[in-house]
Amino acid sequence: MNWAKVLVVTVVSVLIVLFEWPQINRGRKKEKAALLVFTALGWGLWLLLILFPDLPGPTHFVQNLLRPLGRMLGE
Amino acid sequence: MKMKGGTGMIERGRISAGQMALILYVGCVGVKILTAPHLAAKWAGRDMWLTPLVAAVSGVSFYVALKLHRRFPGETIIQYSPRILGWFGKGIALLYWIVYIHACSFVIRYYADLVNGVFLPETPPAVVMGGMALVCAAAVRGGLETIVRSAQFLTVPAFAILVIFTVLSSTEWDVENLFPILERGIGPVVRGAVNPSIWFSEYFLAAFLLPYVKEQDKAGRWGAVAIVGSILTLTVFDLISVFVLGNQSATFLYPLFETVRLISLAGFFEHIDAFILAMWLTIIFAKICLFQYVAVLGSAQWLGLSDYKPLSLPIAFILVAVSIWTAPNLSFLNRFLDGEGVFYSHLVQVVIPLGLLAVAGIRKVKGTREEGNAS
Repeated sequence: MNWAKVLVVTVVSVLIVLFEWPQINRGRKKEKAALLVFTALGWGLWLLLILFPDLPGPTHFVQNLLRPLGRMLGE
Repeated sequence: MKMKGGTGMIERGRISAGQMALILYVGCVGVKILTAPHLAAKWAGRDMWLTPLVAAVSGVSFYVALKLHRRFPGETIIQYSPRILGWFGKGIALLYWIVYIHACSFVIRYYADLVNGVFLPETPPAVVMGGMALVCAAAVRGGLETIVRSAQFLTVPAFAILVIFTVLSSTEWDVENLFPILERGIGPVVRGAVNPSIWFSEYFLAAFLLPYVKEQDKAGRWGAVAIVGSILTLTVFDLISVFVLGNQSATFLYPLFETVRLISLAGFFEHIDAFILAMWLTIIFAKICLFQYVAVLGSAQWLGLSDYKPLSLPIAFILVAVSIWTAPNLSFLNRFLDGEGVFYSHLVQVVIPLGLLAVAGIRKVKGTREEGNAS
């Protein structure tokens, strides 16, 4: 099941790059690099979430960071 | 650095001050009208209709954004933050990018939980979120003008219809539910205002829109119109929830939805709730578009790219992943947005911008562009 999900995510990533790539003017290296980096970032994040579904998220992080302030509000 | 000159022109669209006010208004009330009476009612009970008035204090974030904008005309916070603080400012700009991706994930999450909970229980959330993110990515590619125009076209009728249908629930109204007012003093109302204040602090998104507003002199006034409009809208919807559900508002996850569910017109008009949800989808679409646009524009400006359009799909892809990642369930998200979330949003959208403003004042940093080049 996991492998099917990884396959879907990979196919979506490839489709995104294939769709956007021809629309960037030639010679725009920085834009092409950004496209690849962001898509790779998304792909990596998806992979992480598929393999470790219980990974604590950004909200957990902020919550732990601000817990002392949050306590002031009471339960 | 040839990029320096090019980054400001990255968004070619121009919007009117009124359009800016509308999109910010939708951003403020979008999620709240459906979900948050639940959180406000938990603390304030039948006095929850007073919470928007207290929460509106956070609307000051709009004026912080305006003040910064006046100092750095034609630039967004991603651009002027490095100008104020150098490499540290670049880090702060990155923080804004991450925070708005995170904030967008909340909205997508609320949307997906509602659609999954009510319409499509069997569909995987990733598909529901992906559909919305894809549509929004298409709007973001069109640029700011496309977003505000589609928001104008979709949300104005949607709000009108929402109001009409909630008025139809008047047969169920029991104004007695309102009394006694402030039975337990002002304390619970202030506590109940904590969650709505998060949505009001999101008026800081103006920092990304103001550079593209045509009538600069009217921006401040229109911002006030939007804030007052948000207070009135939220107060009215909260009042109706109190009229219909009374002290029980807190027990429903979507009080407005439950209110409308009770409507039965002449015995054959039933299930208006589904229609209301369809209307709400257009509102939430505009809100997600706004956040997604800020994330896409921010990333392109941070990297100094000449165009943000190629990033719309990759960022939508990241956003869907973050939306799934952001919270294990809705009650976790609600708890966060009723506690630590308020410090988070105000730190980022009020405190840090005020700090930037103070440092810019002390170091006498000013924008290089002339005011009014947006025309």
